[in-house]
Amino acid sequence: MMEQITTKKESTDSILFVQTSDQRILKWDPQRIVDALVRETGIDPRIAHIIAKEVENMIANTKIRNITAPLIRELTNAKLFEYGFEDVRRKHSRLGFPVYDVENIITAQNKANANVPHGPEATNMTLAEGIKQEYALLNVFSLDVAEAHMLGQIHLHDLGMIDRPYCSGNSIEYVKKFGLNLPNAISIAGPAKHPFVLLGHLLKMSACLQGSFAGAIGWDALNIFVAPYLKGIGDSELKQLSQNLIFEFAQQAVARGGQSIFSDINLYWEIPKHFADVKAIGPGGVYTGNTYSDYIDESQRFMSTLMDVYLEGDKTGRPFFFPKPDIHITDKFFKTDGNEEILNKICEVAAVKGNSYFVMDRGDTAKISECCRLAFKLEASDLEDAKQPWKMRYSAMQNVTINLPRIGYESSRDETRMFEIITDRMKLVAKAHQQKKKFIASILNLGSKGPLNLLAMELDGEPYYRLNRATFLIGMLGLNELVQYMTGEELHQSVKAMKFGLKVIAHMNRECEKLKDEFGLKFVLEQTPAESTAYRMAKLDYKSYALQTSQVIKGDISTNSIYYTNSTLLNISEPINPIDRVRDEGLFHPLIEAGAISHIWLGESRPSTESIANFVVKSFKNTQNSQIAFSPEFTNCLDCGRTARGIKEKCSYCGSVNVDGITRVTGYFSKTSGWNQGKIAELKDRYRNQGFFT
Amino acid sequence: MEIKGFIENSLVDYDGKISAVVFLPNCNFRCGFCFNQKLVLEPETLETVRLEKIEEYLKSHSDFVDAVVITGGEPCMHPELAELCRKFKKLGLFVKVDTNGSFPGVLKKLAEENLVDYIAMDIKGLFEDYPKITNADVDIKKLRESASFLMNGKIQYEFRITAVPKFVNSETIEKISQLLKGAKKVCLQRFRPENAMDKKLRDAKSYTLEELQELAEILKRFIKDVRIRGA
Repeated sequence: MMEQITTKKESTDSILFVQTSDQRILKWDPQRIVDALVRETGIDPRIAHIIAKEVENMIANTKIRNITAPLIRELTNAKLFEYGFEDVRRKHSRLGFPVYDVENIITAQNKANANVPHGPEATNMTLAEGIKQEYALLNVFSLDVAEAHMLGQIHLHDLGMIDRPYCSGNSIEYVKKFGLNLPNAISIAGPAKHPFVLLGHLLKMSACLQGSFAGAIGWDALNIFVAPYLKGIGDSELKQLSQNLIFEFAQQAVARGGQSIFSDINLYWEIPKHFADVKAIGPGGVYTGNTYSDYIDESQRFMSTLMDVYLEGDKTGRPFFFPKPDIHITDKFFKTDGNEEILNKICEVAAVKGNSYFVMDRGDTAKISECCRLAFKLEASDLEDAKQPWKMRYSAMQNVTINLPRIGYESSRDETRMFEIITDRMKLVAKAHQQKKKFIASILNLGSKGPLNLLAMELDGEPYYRLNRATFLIGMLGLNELVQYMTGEELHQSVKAMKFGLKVIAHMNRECEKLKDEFGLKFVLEQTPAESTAYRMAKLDYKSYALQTSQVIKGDISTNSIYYTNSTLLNISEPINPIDRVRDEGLFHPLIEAGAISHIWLGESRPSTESIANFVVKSFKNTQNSQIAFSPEFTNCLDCGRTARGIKEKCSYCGSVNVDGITRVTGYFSKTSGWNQGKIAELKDRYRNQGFFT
Repeated sequence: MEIKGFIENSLVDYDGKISAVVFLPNCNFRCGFCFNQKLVLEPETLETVRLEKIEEYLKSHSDFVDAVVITGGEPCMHPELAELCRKFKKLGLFVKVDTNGSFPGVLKKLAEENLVDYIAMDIKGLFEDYPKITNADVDIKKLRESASFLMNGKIQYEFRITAVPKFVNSETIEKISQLLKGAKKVCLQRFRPENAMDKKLRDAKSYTLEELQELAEILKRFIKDVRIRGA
């Protein structure tokens, strides 16, 4: 129970309790204010004394008997503010939430990310992220960067995860070779001997990585690397193994923040050139004496069985949300036996469930794909690493998106000025990346004692996180609206508009190259998924540039359900046939090195499997498009549990209105009930190729 | 003959092909579940699409589009159909014609002159039910002739059954499967009540995917390739 403490007569002349933030009740002591000020801000102790004295007088003048330490801190800050010690006050700030907000966060669902379910784990994450976000803006980034973010000129993604890199591409070879020997583990596992154990390790490694990265966890060439464990395995066991893998990933909505692991598995029908002669690691983490080319049969059987599982969907016929299968379509794919048959199966999955991501690796390009569209293009040094595939660990450290329409407004339709602002803004983004890198490097330098010890572990002689290989993403939002504002036409409306759009992205691509040299960091353009950014930026712009914004904004202004078109996509509501969409959007893709995609929204229609295959082959051969996905929609009934095609108000089986829609929000499937207002508006607008597919 | 509708590309109308779809007006049937009623009843209210525009589109998309589907209405009612097919064939495209089977002579002529690569013929229910299904005078002999021409001919084909519960159920499907015994391919299409010509049908229930699968199972006993569309 509370113990009463009497303060000294000379200070306040009565009893004053201070309730500290570590849940203690202490006696009033102004020295604590002085100590905190000196410790946290380095202010001259004499000034600190004066401030503390004034705060004490202020409190003494009230009849307050109970005061909290946070309130004392705020009163102190008020004094610092009054005397103009702005810099000191910033350092002395307290981060946190108003009670009202906390109550809201605990009871209402977070809609910034549709992959966050509603539950105490999720609200923990929201609260923690809220504080880290504030911390990042205050302490990690310089004032100009933070301001640009708050004004919506740029968007610093995953600020709430400031102490982690953004996303990662990994190799299961690491797990095969070293087992699960992780820094925080309370027990250590040696290399797996059995495929089921290996997949268990893979899953746990993914969960651990999810704790150290903000975004997606991708696995390269999974079917190939698991293949040596599958020698002599029967069909039914392989099926069970495949189900195990997919269900385990799909149902992991119990980990960080109650979220599913945003996971990707990269699949190859062939053994790509860079892995063909690599010595294969098998059960027990030892070399089998063969190369991966020798395991092509097992590798293909595994891929084919995984596709069977995707085709079936879950118990209620829903598509699996994770792991996303990234299917690499390459020149060698078409030269490998059985390609037509597997392509049909992959396309059957695309038509029925939508999961398949078609990653187009033309010529000698090799990529690791993950997230909504991100792909790491392998360079010469990476292909050298491929000989020791466990070394192939990639990461994009941060993603920063540039609000393109805003630049149009700021330039007052002056093209020269517009390009100047783009250049400036990219420089600012580069600066933001440099600051994030410095911060992450400082955490990684804490090594095995630091919070990112998983990424600092050196089982293969170098840190798991290869800092010097990290890339830094520069994203863009609303190219379509920028072009519309500048030229009066949307990208799809004229060749002139399209050319203008290409000029903008080519300029960004060139600036990227220049910044690389200037900053010594690997900057690459990426199409930002912009799940919440497309909504946030639209709202911010509508507030400060209402007149300009209303000329180009998409969605419904009257209900505040507004958004900008994602990245370099064409207007998603226009009846543009899929050929033109894939071809025209694809024109941008070679300029956007870190990943771009075209979505073909199917609505409730179910195209012919063979026609999809035909379309995929032609997209590979006749366009520059780097990734395509076909996205059907579903209605899942919460009463009868069944899943039907199309987003409907009522269950088509039992008639219940207690239903949830399922489709891709950006790159991944999720329940539409978890979507933010901007994405709901986009969903309403999405042109589902009705005329083309029904 | 005027073209009354054009879809730039379709992945549903010609299995395996990326097709463009051309709609021709008028029909000799008045099926209650028809969802192209304007095309059948008042085509003059629809804008005519210029053939040159279509040809231009097909030429500029020849790297993707490999077929044209001619549908309606009933395309075979138009004497100019052959000429239209010839134009598309000249562009190097596959041609598919959708028909209700009333004009076997036209089908034979198209086949003889190599103007068609694929024919889809509707089977709207039991032949004896045709008068009430189509609300028209139907010469069943012609339908049989068309079906038999397809089943014994060289042209690729499919039979399409729109599964309207009122006319198509497990019993009728059983009988239809006998009729089509040995056919290469049959497609069961989900009935879409929303735009049905017969207003009374607009509130009618349609089969669920599971129910369609049950019907498909019956067909599979006699037909190798059975597909479900629209569900």
